[in-house]
Amino acid sequence: MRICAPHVRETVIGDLHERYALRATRVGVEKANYFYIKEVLGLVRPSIIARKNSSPQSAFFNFDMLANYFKTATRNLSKNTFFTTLNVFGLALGMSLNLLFVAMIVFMYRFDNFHPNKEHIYRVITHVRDRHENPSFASVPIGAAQLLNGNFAGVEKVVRIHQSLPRNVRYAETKIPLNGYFVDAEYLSMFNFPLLQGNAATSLANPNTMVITEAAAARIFGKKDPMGKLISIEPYGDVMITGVAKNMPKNSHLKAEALVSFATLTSHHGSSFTDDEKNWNNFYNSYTYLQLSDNLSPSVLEAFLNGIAKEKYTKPEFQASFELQRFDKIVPGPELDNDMGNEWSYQEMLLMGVLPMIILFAACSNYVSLAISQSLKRMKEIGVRKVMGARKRQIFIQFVMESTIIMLAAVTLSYFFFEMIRRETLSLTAELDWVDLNPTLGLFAGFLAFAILVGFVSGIVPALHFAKTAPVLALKGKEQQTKTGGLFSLRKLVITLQFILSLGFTFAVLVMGQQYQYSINYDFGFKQEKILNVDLQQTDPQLVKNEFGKLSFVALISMSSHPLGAGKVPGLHVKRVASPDSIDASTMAIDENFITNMGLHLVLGRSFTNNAGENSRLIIINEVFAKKLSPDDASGAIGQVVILPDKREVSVAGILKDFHYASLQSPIGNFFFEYAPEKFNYANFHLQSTNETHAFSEMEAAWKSVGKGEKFKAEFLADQIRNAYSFYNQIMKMWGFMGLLAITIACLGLLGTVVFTVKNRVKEVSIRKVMGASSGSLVYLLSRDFIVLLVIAGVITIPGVYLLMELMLSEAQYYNAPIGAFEIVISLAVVLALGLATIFSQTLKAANTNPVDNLRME
Amino acid sequence: MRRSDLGEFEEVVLLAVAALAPLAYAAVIADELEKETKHSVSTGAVHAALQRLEDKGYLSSAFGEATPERGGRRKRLFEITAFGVRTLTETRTIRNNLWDRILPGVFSKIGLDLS
Repeated sequence: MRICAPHVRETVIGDLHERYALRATRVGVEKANYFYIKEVLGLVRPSIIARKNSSPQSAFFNFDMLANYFKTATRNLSKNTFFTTLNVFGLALGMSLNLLFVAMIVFMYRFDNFHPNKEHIYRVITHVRDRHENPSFASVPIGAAQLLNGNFAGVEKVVRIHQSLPRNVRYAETKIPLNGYFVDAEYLSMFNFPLLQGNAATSLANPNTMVITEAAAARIFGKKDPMGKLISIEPYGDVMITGVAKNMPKNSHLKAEALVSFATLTSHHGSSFTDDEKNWNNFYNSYTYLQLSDNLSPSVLEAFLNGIAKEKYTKPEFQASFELQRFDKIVPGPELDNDMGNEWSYQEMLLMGVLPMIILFAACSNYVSLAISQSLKRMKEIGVRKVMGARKRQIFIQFVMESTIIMLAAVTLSYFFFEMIRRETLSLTAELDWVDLNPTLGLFAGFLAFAILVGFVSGIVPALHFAKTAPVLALKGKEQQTKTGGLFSLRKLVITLQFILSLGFTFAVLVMGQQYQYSINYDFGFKQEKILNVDLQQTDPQLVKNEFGKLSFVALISMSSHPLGAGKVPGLHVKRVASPDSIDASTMAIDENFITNMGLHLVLGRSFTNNAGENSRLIIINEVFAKKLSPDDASGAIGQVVILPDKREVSVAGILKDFHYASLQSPIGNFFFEYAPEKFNYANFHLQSTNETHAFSEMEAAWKSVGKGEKFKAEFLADQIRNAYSFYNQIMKMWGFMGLLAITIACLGLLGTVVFTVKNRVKEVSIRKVMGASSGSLVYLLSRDFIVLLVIAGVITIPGVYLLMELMLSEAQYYNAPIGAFEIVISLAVVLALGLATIFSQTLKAANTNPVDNLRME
Repeated sequence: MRRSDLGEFEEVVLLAVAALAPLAYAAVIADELEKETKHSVSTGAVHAALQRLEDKGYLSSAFGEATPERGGRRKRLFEITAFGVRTLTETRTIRNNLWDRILPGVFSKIGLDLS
């Protein structure tokens, strides 16, 4: 009888019986029965007699139990060495990319954590409502800072940052790239960027003063003392170094090499630079940081600024509001336009995590499916535990712990993979060179937390599966779901999904490779061999021409503003005299030799001549443009007058056969060549020599006389074009690595499942063999199910990825190669071959063993 | 006045325990109350009340002997504690005081005679 709580059961039932006897004598058996039943039913109410737990309440984390779980887990793992190794290896591979991601997150959350008063710093950001995109800017109109300075008692410091510092400075006639911005003097006291030399309070107080970092100082001045040296910055003139700062750490969105005093800007441009009303419509370049005291709430300032905004932006189609962004919410933070450069948003972080997560998901599903398929062996253990009084929760914890141990082992192994791919990944794109993923204590803590989290999450499925088994079934060694086949479908689903993933990546990588080959071998409509583009770097084009013309191996020299066919050319609007509509067109500036040099084919009219004065009034257009100017007859375009954006009137001298002036990503549009020596950036040498090293040393010698101390920079046009498509290489590298991971994980999972199935059917196979089945038919029997899965994966993936890639390519590149049967066949062959090899390696072994070995026991 | 956390039914049960001492257990108490109130009193209700009273410290309990009509199960005998006695007396004093303050004419006015 389990009517009520055990500790009161004896007396309660005794009392009921006694009263039953009393009532039976007094009012008769029937009424006594009635009351008895009523009262027993009345007991079924937990509120009347509170039911206490029969077993003593166990703490959630009982140390002894945990130690026991740990022991069983390690014993069980070491008993199944094969599956454990498979799991750990697969998971470690899957985790390696995620560790990069975790490292990235840890790095992000360490951003700007070294400023002592970071809790009090805010950045003013702007939200624009313009009825289109409603962008949010990290920058503010420059006047906003002025209003806050001195108007509020709690505003301790206001620092303006202006990003208009030129990228290059000059020292002793050498051009040096320098990355920096203009700041107010209080910058150095608001942020923790200590000075090694100079006074933090006064270094940036005066016009034309600047602070540079140690590294920049070493780069510019070598071992010489930088203090007091003059650097020339256009158009501000000479700027004196008044301080040397310690190198700024990578984990700051303010990272820079040079800080120039804001007073430089104001003294050069005059006070209108900050005070002009027109500045309220300019959000670019200018940033404002505030340091507030404890007793001033940022919302008060926001209200004040938004009051101002209402006065400044009166048009309903352009409104703006301001917000004070907490310093620690900048990186990672919301996506903002026009940020300081070194900033990452939540969205970008999320995007970065998607692919690693998919790979990890594949690895974890392997673990889950293998763990559940081994449940047959574990059932006895679970049954005994349950009979001894283990609760569902305790079984659950046991299995979650087991998966956590596996994950910890995997993360340890994965760390080595992580070390291997870390540098490779960071060198993949130049955008990542500010990332610092060197191991720190925080990073290890992040990895540990990650392993425990993954262990818990992936442990849930097997843990629930075991926890819910009924003890009797478990003791009998029966799996409760074998009959329904639900488990088998989970296993099959996992394998199929993994092969879909592997096949998808392989296919995509092959398609990318094909696009790359197609692009660099494409007929652009001009000669790209043997053309060497030399960066002119402020030298006089005529001098270069004279100097290099003397070299015997340079057959022809032309000048151009851009390398032809690589990257983008500037677009502009031109007008015809007759029509008010403007025409979209792209242009390049060239000289009279360019068309011959590049082997461009003139269809009609003539090329530029030696007469520079006449040339500047002429343009040479392509067929598309000619068609636009004179739709019926191309020859009608010759002589037509076109007005350029700078109001120059030029007439069409010649028409060129269409060629790819820009990269293959965009279609051929209206294009014209103009003659504008002031726009020349490259000299195009047509080389004849075969001995490149010799040619280069001679050219470097020739450059010395014209180069004004700059380095000789030259690249072959073919290489430049190749580089323009290097993003395909990057994608291939990245996806290729992921494909490799996916295939490895899929094969490991398949291997585990096949081994398990074969083990379970070893008796069946032996009996069949004794009865006369051939090896071939047994292999077929064992492999059939898995081969079907691979075929399903292929059938699903190929059309899916095909459509996806078609869509992506048509977006990414106008002139793309159609995806051919070759890619499909190769990717299918590679993945299927690996999958089949995995299956047959096991099934062949099983089919060829001596049946006596397996049947002897019976 | 400290608010006594003694409900009406609990008070009656407590009184019954005192009245039936030293042989007070749930079945007898329920039976006694049924006799006194002329209403059926469920054993469960008495059990709950007894348990609450014991939790509050008004009662103490011990196992008694087993009898055949109980199916060989032991009784749980309850005894009132000193704290229980004090609470009962307090409650009674409050009631008595209030009774004493009722003016003689109040009840007779509405046609009741309680004397």
